[in-house]
Amino acid sequence: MSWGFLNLTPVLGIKVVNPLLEVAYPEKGDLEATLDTGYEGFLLIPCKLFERLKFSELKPIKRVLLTADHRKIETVGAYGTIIYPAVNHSNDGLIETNPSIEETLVGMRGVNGLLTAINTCKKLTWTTKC
Amino acid sequence: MGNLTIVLKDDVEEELRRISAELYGSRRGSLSACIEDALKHWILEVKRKSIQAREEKYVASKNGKEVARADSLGELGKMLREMKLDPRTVEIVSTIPLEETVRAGLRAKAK
Repeated sequence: MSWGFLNLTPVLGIKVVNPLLEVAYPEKGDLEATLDTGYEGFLLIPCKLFERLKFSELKPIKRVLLTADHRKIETVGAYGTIIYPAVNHSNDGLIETNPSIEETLVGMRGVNGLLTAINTCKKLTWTTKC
Repeated sequence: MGNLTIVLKDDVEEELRRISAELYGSRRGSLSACIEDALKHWILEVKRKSIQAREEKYVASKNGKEVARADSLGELGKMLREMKLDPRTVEIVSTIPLEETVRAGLRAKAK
């Protein structure tokens, strides 16, 4: 399965789920999330989406992200699921947010169990299960 | 607090001192703080790998007492619903400890 690029950035089609409170976004189809290979976590989402998925109602887990310029971003998180509908695969992990996060970023833990290739000639991100 | 005497190769020591000065400054105790953080990270990584080899589980606890344990969050949610326990009132953790600090990618910006 493949997705296009968003400008020059590879994206993946995902659905974000809060399995504890049975909420999913989007309800139909998928959301184009940016693949951020420099992020060692699972999934970073904007606060609005975090609240919409009711992760803000669960007991918060706090930690720190270290940016490339050694600045710190304090995040609030809760455990949730990423579903890759097109390849019938899902991963559980910590979904984090912070007011400075404006886009949905899938980190390296978020793509566990997937084989992903970036085709820069065709501007496509191709993914399948390992 | 314990005192350890360790021997490092020159190139490792040089690199360690360079990184320590860059990240922790040159105040008294900064090298110890740097080494302690590095060891904490390494210990956590070793634990993670050892648990990962066995398989990750998700655990729900209420008032410090384990109430449910499952292989996935979906399964854990189902168990809590069957027990008529509101997920908002429990603490969810993974058996694989979370790192306190992880690297953000270049797209994540601090305000």
